[in-house]
Amino acid sequence: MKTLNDDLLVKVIIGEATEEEIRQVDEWLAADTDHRKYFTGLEKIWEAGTVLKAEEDVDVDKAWARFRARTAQKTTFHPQKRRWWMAVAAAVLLATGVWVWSVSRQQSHDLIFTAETLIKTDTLPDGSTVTLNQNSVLKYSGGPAGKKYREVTLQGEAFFDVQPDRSRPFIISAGETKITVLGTSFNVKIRGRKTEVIVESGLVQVENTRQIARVKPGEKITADSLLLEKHPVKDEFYRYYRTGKLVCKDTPLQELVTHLNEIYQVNIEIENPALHHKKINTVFDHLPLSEILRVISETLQVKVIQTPAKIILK
Amino acid sequence: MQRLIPYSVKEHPIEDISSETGFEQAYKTHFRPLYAYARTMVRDSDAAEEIVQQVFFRLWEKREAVDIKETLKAYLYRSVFHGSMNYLKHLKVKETHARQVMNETPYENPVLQNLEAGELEKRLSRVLAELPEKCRTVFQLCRFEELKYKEVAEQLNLPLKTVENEMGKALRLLRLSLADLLPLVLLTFHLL
Repeated sequence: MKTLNDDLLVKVIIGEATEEEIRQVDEWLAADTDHRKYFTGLEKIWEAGTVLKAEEDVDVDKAWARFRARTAQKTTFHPQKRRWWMAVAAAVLLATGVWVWSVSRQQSHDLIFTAETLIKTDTLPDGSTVTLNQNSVLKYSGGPAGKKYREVTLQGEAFFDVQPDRSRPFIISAGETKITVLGTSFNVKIRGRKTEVIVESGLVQVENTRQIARVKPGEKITADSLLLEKHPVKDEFYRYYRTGKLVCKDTPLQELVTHLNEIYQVNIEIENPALHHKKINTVFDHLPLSEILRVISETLQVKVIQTPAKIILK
Repeated sequence: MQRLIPYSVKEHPIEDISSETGFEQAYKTHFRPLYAYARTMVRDSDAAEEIVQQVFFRLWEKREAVDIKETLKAYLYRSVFHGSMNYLKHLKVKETHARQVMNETPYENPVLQNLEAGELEKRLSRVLAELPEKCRTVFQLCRFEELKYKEVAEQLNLPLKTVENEMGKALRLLRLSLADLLPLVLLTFHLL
């Protein structure tokens, strides 16, 4: 088999060749059946590509609106870089955008944000930002712009940075728990019937059918339909899905293991009870589980045994 | 303050992204094909949109100072390529990890499973992500955007000869990766 330049063959296959080149390739093809096979192989690969062409199911204008919502949120952080007239222009643009958006939303119904495999940050129509953890869904209820409340329904887990607006409280329905805020940042996590709220700034009101409580920064509340329990926030594990960091400050091994089991969807067990309260002090920054286990094993002098069903520390 | 990003070829409009309207125009021109590019790479529409949004977001943040030596299109395609590769890398880390720990079966992308494609198409979609950046981008424009060599050369500001070389290289590399499948495919082809 005599080889011919692939560039030339490809040009013929995709219709870029000149007559002279086509003649050249035809001659080569006629010379040997292996040549024909080689050529057909390339041709098949080229044709297989048509099946893979992604159907374009995306609305560019909507994508642009989502993009602008993102930039509108961020640009306010660097006002010193902009000249005042740009700020005015931006404000006018933004106001127009919000107006167009709210008008269009009077016809539409709910806005739904979902995060499946990726963690997502989105800006809601009122300017609040939400970071959704994996497998979480947030519904922002539409309706007239003059409505007295901003209402969202959450499944899963999310971090909220709520745009202050005293005239329109922001209300989150999380399972059987209702959370009311004016403007603040906090994390909400729903697991089964329990809802956990951790506040980073501002003040949050949490209520179920029987009780009502206010949560301040540094406080955590665990709620189900009957009980509200308040605790101090002792660790930063709830930030992991946003930061990728596991911060251990005097963290008992037992507690770290509970978080690892949840984050990595594994089953780690501590066999020796004396190990439960061993303290760990470190930051695991974007590390895979195998690395974390190696660090634990070295610092605490424990053995890591992997079985198909679980990982045993002893 | 304003910096223009000219195409080397005159019939193409100059894309000035330092103004808001200019940026919006560039976004609306390129979003759809870039999204299609990311989708053929990652096979997940949510992830694809996120990758493209992030590319534009980074560009937005430095739009007044950015110095793009190639065409804007070439810059955007390269960024989407690398964004997709990063995403796939993370996915792979997660996957091998879950497999090691849980002793699970290999990860199969659900989108791919649902895709009504033959073995060749499935494998092709996987090995496409193994092509080098320039090669992959040129392939994207010729195959999925159905552009002529001349148009690809203009839009990416590459010599025509380079486009020819990259396409030859693309199919040669793909053929090598799929070598084990081809005899079977050719056989069924001849039977039909």
